[in-house]
Amino acid sequence: MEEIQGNKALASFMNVRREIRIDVVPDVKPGDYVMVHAGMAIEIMNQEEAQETLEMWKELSDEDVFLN
Amino acid sequence: MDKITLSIGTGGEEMTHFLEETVFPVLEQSISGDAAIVGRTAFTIDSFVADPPFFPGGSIGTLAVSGTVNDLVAAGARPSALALSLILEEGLDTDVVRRVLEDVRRTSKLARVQVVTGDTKVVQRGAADKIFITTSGIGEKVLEFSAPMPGDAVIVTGDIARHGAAMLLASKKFELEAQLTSDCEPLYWLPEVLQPFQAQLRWMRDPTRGGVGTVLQEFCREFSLGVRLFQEQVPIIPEVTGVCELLGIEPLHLASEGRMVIVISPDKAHELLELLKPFAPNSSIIGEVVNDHKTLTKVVDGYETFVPPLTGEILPRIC
Amino acid sequence: MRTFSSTSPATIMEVCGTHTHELFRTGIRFSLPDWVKLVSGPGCPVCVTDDRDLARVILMAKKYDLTIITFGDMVKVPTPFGSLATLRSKGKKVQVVYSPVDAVKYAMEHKDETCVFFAVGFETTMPAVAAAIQDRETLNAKNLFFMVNHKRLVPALQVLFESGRVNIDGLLLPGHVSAIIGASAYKPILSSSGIPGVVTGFSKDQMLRGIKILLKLIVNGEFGVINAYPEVVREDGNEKAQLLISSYFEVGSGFWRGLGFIPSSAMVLKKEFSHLDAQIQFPVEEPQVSSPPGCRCAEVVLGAADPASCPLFASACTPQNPVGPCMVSSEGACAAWFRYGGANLHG
Repeated sequence: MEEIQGNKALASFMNVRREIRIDVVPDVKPGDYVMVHAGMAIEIMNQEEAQETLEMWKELSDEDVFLN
Repeated sequence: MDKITLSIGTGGEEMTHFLEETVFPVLEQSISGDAAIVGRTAFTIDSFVADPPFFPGGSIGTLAVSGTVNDLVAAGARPSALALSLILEEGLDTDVVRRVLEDVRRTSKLARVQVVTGDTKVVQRGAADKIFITTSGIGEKVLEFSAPMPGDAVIVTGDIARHGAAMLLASKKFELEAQLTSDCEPLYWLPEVLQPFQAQLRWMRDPTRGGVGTVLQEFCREFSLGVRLFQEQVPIIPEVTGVCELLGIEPLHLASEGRMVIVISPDKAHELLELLKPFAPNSSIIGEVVNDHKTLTKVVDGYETFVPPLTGEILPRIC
Repeated sequence: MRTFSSTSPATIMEVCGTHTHELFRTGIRFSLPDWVKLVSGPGCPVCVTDDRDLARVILMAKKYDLTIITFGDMVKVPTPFGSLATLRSKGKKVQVVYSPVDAVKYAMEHKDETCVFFAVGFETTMPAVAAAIQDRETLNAKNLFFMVNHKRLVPALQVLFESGRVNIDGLLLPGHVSAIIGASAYKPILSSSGIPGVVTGFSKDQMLRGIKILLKLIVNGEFGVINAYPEVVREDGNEKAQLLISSYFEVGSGFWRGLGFIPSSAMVLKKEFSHLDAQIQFPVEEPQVSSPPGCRCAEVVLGAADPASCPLFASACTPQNPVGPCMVSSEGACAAWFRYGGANLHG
């Protein structure tokens, strides 16, 4: 997420920049990562909070369940 | 099908189908779209309808020379002369024509090739889109090819898909911005570099419309062999990856206009790579010829998947 | 602990077109153990759109000389009246956009054209269409109308379970629909059906994570929802998005390919927006449609049949000459099977 202007923002992905709408993620700040669908940011990606939740499932997903 | 559709022009499956079902039967012969060999002369023709005519890294003039030179080189020839035909739309700025021709002059000088004859036509406003160029070229065949075999190495002379990606951005249809210039250039130096590898050279093609993926699929069909690519070994710049991810396009389907795909026996692959590097620093071995399957696959993170053939008309006019 | 084998596998269903393709493209599909069977459910919005809805749009375009604006995938879907691509080759205007707000831009730049935006998609796409309607109102783009055919995923899943037509042991839940509706939206149907569901992202690591957790839950005989995509999905979803959606849409009923009539499974324009509702402004006769003979899209879309089992697959029906939407859409199961070799790929 780079510049923000009203309900539009400039987001970049691998050095490619595109204008997107941020109507439903109004708290977005430059530097945030967002998930975009059809030109609209639908959620802000949240790595830190997510890490806690993911820790909970680590045991379940680490085990090689494929071996059954 | 009874009407011509845009997807026929994309260079993928629909074009192949169109040629095989409609064109060849009427002409009563199968014609290769690449250079033909008549005696010791390679002979080719190509049309350039790029929109927009000027783009970062070049113009339709740069393309008109590079495209035809590269077709001749791919056939194993040293390009010697070009013929240029211009179709101009009424109302076009004369300055556009001047600039395009300057690019033609510059590029043909760089490629050590001369425009020896030409033709110009003007059509009414609307009957052509600004400027169309058809270039025909001849060259002397200086390289021979031997039959490809499983184990042969597949080399590409630089990062892929830059022209296609640059044209997508230049078309302004997708509202994307990036610093991306076309890779359009004539590979006039290649026949000389390949001379020492005569006995080991199998096949070459310039990956224009349809990209590396399409030309390799043609290879598989022609020789009933498969090709296995390794994604990590395919050189590509981040901006091109970005554009492709955002638009849902496979980079192997986007055109390069200054690259060659070369198939060579494995024992000489690294040696060739060293000789290519001064001219084409990002040359890389991207895969190998196989016979456990007869199509084009790529290995990503250890998993192998097919590279599907290009279908549809996603792209605006790029070359 | 439940045990499974290659003859009696654990069946997991994914209900997202992006999952369908990404599972193939990353190769995960081919690396699953033989006691796991992966089926694709109704996750492709273009595939589950009933022929009647698209046919209606085509008839509308012909009768009222409209410019149709829609997503790229919709353009080649065939109907008894041709496809939007056929319409275009006959001289009518069909415009493809990546974002619905671009439709408003187009309408403003082409004031002499009467435009209809054909909106399909699940909850992930609804906020973008709602934003487009909002723009249309603020910019007063009087020449732009909307044909709304949005679908709600959860009611369809419920009908799928109740139908008993497919035997599912677990659900791989779509990351982006869930970002909007929230992980808790699936709780009721998973509890009543007694199977587990795992909200899963789209990168290779995220999908592997989701599948492994799901398989563990299946083997342990547990049910309910687990959110394995907390980077993007929250328990209650994106409230602002839900608010934006409910400003313009309300729940209605709709027809799904394969599942038929499902009450409360669609989102329709609220009555106060009937002035931009294409169905009201451009009425046409109800089109008669029937499935092309042999086409098994209706079963493929439910996961009741594999694309390879359709008699037309890869012969009469290919991406160049598609018979049904499952082969046309970039998210369709048949397209994925065809592109990536499906049952024919080694391993």
